[in-house]
Amino acid sequence: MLLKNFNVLVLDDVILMCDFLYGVANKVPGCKAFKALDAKTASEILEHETIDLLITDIELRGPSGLDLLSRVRAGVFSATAHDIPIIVFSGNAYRELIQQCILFDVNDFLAKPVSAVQLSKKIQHHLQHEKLIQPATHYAEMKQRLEAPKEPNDEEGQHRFRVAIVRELEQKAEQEEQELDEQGNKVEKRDFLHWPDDATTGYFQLDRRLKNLAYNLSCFHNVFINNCKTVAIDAERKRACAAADYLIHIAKTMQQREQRPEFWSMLQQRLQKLQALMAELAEVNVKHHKQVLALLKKLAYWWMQTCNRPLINRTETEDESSLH
Amino acid sequence: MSPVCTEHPILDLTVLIEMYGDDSRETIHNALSGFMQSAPKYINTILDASANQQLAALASAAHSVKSIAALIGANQLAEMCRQLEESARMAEWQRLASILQTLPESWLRLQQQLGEQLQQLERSDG
Repeated sequence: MLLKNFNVLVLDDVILMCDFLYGVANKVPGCKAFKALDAKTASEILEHETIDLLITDIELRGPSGLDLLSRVRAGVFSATAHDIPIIVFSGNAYRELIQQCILFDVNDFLAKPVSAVQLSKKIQHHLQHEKLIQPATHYAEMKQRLEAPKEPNDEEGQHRFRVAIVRELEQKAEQEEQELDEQGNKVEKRDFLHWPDDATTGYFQLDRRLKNLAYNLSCFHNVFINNCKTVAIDAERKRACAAADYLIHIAKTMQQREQRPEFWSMLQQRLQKLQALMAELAEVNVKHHKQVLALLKKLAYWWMQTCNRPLINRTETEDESSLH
Repeated sequence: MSPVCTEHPILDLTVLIEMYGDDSRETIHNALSGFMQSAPKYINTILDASANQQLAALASAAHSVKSIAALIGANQLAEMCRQLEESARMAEWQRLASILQTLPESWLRLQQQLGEQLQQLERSDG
């Protein structure tokens, strides 16, 4: 169903292992592999090629795999998105390194040796499954904090654990989002904007950003409807605006190198409308309930119009040819 | 030699075939010759680092050999390097010395087997 050719970067400082990983990644259907023997070369590739998935060893000579992946998450590479899936070979890495990788929302940890079949499955899995990644600024701040000289009482260590726990609770809360109807039966509580699991634009990068936008706008909707504090509403508004900006940015980058001109022209029109709506959202006074509600209605209408054929199709009912 | 290490075969090509998911002569030849090119540098680093008591360098080189040895089915060397890496990180000098004593012999036997295997592959190619 997905049409995109994925660029996979493998980084390992042992030539034989690097060649093995490169060979496996290159054989995954739809994937083109790039290889690097050190973090410096990998950085150059990330800067100039749009990489869709990174596989890296954590222990490298020179700058570590952790240093590289933290820079990816902090969004320092202009051609590569900060929220790409990252697979780390952790082996016997020190516990602290692994904990730091978790903070940077690494998608998977593997131990060497891994077989070609296992690795191939992992690559395909992570190219098609979403992990919620925070905005790049979140990781940039974290990177800065981690790189700062340690305080003697290591309060920072306690913060690290707190961040991890908060994320887990968020995910659980998302899964358990059910409520009871009048008869006491469990009914699924729908988000303000919902991205169906089987929906796709044909490009997983766009899918995850659309899903992310839906999630963030739903969060904004929830805090607003529940009359939360202005500071909470503002925080959610910022996240929603950042999600929209990122979707627009990615679409613009992808459009330059993809086929399907009709699709991209139509998407561009939808995104221009979104940009205008999000500009309104960024400016609106959240104390003016009517204005915010009217804007949310417009956003819901935009979503309904956008999340439909021909832009978005269902994977279970459509075959690949219907996208062309 | 440490009993843990001798339990493992020196070279098991079925492991290599499973890891690469490919039993073609070309793949096996490339993997074995790639290992022959890569590994000596790391083995030398291990020996030098142990002579100079540089535990971090020793652990790092052992880590590298461990992964590529396991990739081609050099199980004995892989296990030996796993133990070396572990001992170096925990600064267990006695255990390190015991493994390092047997490393050169094990490495030599592996090189012999690899040489024979490569010759065999080259003969069957011809």
